[in-house]
Amino acid sequence: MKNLKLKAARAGKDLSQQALADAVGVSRQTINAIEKGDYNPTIKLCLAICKVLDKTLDELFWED
Amino acid sequence: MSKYKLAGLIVGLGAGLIILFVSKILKKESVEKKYDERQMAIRGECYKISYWVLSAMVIVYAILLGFDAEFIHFLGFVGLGLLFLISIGVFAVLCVWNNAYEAINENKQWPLTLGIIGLSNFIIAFANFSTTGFIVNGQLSFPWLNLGCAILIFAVVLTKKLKDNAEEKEEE
Repeated sequence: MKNLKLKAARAGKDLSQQALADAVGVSRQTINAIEKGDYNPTIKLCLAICKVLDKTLDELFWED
Repeated sequence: MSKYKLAGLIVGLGAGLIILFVSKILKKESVEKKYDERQMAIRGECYKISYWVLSAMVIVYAILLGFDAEFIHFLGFVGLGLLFLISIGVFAVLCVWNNAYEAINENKQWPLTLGIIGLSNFIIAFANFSTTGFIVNGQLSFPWLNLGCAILIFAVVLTKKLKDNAEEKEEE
């Protein structure tokens, strides 16, 4: 399932996939895979993404 | 082993050691390749697949050797080397296709460097074929390993190119 919340939050911060990837220390393809729903990140990476985007885990990774 | 072959072996090993030594000096601080969690997981999967591919090929090789198949004698030691190259190729191609080959901190010019190495192997293979021939004493000659290396490297570079093109189309 696509993670549109992450994509929207990233766009809201005006960050490219590469910029977010550099900020959290992963490759651009990994961010792309998370947004496309092809990869389930570990809690460690989820937290790192949340910190960079100023969001909570629920806001980005909880499925309604 | 003839004097010429021995001299060639010593010169080859010496050249390799000199290149290694010089590259170590030029590098000074060796930067460790860094892979993210997704890449590490994929690399693990690819290792597993290439291990099973190699195991399967070696088992078939051993069975055919047991049956004293003529084909296996034709492949000889070089054939065994080619099996290892195939399994390395499987690992590398799968990693490249899943974006797990290139480390986060790796120089983006690696396909070019690899391409040059592949081309050198290709040239070396055909230069040696012209002197040793394709088959020696009813067995594949050693330059087949150079050719195998060249094909492996070209396969990796081609996969990288195809993957980049596929991603570009996806982004459009």
